[in-house]
Amino acid sequence: MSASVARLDRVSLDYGDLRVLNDFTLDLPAGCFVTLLGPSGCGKTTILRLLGGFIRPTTGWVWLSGRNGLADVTHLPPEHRNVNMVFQDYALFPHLTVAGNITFGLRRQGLAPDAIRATVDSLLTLVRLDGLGGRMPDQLSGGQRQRVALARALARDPPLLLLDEPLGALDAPLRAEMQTELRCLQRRTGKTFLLVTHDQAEAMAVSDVIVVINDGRIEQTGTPEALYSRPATRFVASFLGENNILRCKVDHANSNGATLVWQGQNLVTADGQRLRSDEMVEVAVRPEHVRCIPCVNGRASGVMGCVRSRTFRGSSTLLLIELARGETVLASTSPTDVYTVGDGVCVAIDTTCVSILDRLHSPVIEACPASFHRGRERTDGLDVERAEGLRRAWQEGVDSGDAGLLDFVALRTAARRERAAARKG
Amino acid sequence: MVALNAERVRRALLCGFYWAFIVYLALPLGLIALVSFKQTPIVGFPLGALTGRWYGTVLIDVEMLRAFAYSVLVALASTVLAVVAGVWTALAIARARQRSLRAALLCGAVVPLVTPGVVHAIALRMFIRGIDLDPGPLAVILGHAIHAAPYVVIMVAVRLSVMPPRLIEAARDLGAGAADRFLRVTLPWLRPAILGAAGLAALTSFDDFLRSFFLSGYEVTLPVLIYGRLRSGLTPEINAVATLVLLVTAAAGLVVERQTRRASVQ
Repeated sequence: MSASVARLDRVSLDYGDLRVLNDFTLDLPAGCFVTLLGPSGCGKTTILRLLGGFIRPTTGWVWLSGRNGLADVTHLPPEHRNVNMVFQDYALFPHLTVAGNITFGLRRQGLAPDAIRATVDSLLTLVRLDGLGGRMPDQLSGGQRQRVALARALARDPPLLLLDEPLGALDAPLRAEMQTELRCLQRRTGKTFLLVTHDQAEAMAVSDVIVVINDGRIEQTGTPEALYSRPATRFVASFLGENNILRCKVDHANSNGATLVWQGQNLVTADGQRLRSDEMVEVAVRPEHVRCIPCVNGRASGVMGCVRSRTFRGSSTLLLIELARGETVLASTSPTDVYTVGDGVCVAIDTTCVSILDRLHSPVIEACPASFHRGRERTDGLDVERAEGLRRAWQEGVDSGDAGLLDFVALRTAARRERAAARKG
Repeated sequence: MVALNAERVRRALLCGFYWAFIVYLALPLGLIALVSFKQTPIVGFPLGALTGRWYGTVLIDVEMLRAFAYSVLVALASTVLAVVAGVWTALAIARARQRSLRAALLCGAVVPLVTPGVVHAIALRMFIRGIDLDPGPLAVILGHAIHAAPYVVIMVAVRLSVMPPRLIEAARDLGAGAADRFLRVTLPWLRPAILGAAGLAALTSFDDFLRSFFLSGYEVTLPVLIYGRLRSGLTPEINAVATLVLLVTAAAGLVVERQTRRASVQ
C-alpha cells in the first residue's frame, strides 16, 4: 500500500532566466489523496504538468508507475504516460457527446464495443450521470461537466489522477458537495489523486496529505491535522488559517524541550532540541489558544492589553488585542464573552500549543501517513474489506453492480452514527 | 414631445436608408429577371406579352449547359485545393510563436485577396507560360484556388485562435497521437470555418471572370461564355441565364451560411 506511484527526483525547471522549481523532490504514495497547496505562481500547476508530460524538466527525473514498478518517463510524451488529468476548465471536446468524451481515450485500446459500453455505463454511474451519455457538453451544468471530466480521466484506469484546480469554477455550495464527492471517489477507486489548489479549506477537507509549496520549494508536508496544529514554517503558519506569530527568547533548552519567554510569560515546548539559550525564535500560536482574562485592578495574571477590534464569527468571536509594546495578537473567544472595543484585558497563552517556526524541515512524504490508514478504518467503519473489494472490481473494469456513490456516502454516515451511539452507550 | 419627435425622425431616416439600399441592390436584379420573361427579343421596356420560352432555349442550349457544368467542376476542384492549402497554411501560421510574426505571415497569405483582379489574372497568365502550363482546365482551377485560399486561411486562422489550448492537451493526455489529434479534435473544431470558407470559395470561383478569361483554353466557364455572347448584344436568353445563376448562387449562399451558423453554434 505504501509503494510509490510517482516520483519527482531532484527536478529543476527554468523558464528563461526564471527558476520555477529548484531541486524539487516529491514521492507520491499509492492510494493517497495528496494536495499541492500554495499561492498562485508558486509552481504547483507546473508540478502537475511535469507529471502529465506537458513540460519537461530542465534537470532531474520524473518517474511513474508502470507494469514493473516505477519507470523513468522524463522524456515520454503525455500520450504515452500512464496518468490522466482533469483540467481546470475541464477541456471537454465540444463536438462529442458525454459518452463520446468518455470513450475518447478508449478507442485505440482495442476494446470490444460491448466492453466500451459497459465501461461508459459504470463510469456514468460512478459520477452520478446515469442516462446523460447522449448529452452534449454545452447542455450540462458546471458540476455535471466536472463529473464528465472526472469520468473521462478515469476511463483509462490510471493509477494516478492529476486534478488541476478542478473546483475553481464552481460556486460555494456545489464546491463543498464536489469536495465530498471527490473524496469518496478517491476512496472508492483506491487510486492516487493529486490535487492542486490555492484554497486551504479545500485542501484540509479532502486530503490525506497536504504538501505546502511556496516559491518552487516544499514548505511542509503532512496530514491536515499536523499542518494545522504544528506548522513548521512562518509561511505555513500564516497560509493555513489564522495564526499569531510571536518572537520569543529561548530561556533554556535541552533534549526534553525548551522554555521560551514572550512578554514576560513562559512558554513551554516539547521540541527544543535545535535551540540554544538566549537566541530569538519565532513561534506560531492559534487564536483559539490565546486566552483572555478580565483585568482586576491591575493585578494581571498574563500580558496586559487593550481590545482594538471585535469580529463576530458565529461559533466564536475574534478579538484583535494590542499589547503594551505595540505588538498585536488575535484571540478567539466564546461568542458570549463580555469584551468590547477599548476594554483592557489580560492575555495568556496555552503554553503547550506553541509551534517553533523555521527550524524543522522534512519535505519528503515517506509513505502514506499512518493516520490515513487509521482514517480509512475509522470513517469506513467495518468496511475496509468491502472498500478493497470495490477497488479490485474497479480495476478489473467490471461494474460490480454494488452500491452507487450515494449508497457509499449513506454507508459511511450510518457507520459514523453507530460509532457515536457506541461511545455514548 | 420634441425628444420623441427627434427619435421618430431618427428611426424614419434609418429605415429609409435601409430600404433605399435594398431597392438599389434588388431593382437591377429584378429588372433582369423581369425582362427575361419578355416575349419579343428586344431587351427593354415596355414589356408587352410575357413568356417562359427563353428559359426553354437556355435549357436546350448545349454550349450553355456545358459551360455551366465546367464552371461547377472548376468551382468544386478549386475549392478542394483551396481548403487543403488554406487549412495547412493556417495551421502553419498558428505554430508561429510571436504574435507579430503570426500577423506578418497572415498578411503574406492574404495578398491574392487584395491584389487587383486584372493584375493577378495577367500575372497568372504570364506565370503559367513561364512554367510551360497551357491555358486550360488545370490553369483555371489553380488560378481559382490561389484566389480562394486566403478566405480559407483567414476563417480557419480566426477559428484556430479561439480554440482552447487545453483541448489538444486533453487529447494527448488521453493517448491520442498527432494524426488522431488532428482528425478527432482539430478538424471537428474547424468544421464550421471550413464549411463557410468552402462555400465562399466555391461561389467566388463560380463568379470569377477575370482569372477564367485569362487562363481558359478552348473550354470556357459560364461567365466567360456570357461575356462572349454579350458581344453580339444583350438577348433575353442571357437575361434568363443570369436569373437562373442568381437564383442558384443565392440559394447556395444561404444554405452555406445556415450550415456554418448551425455548426458554429454547436
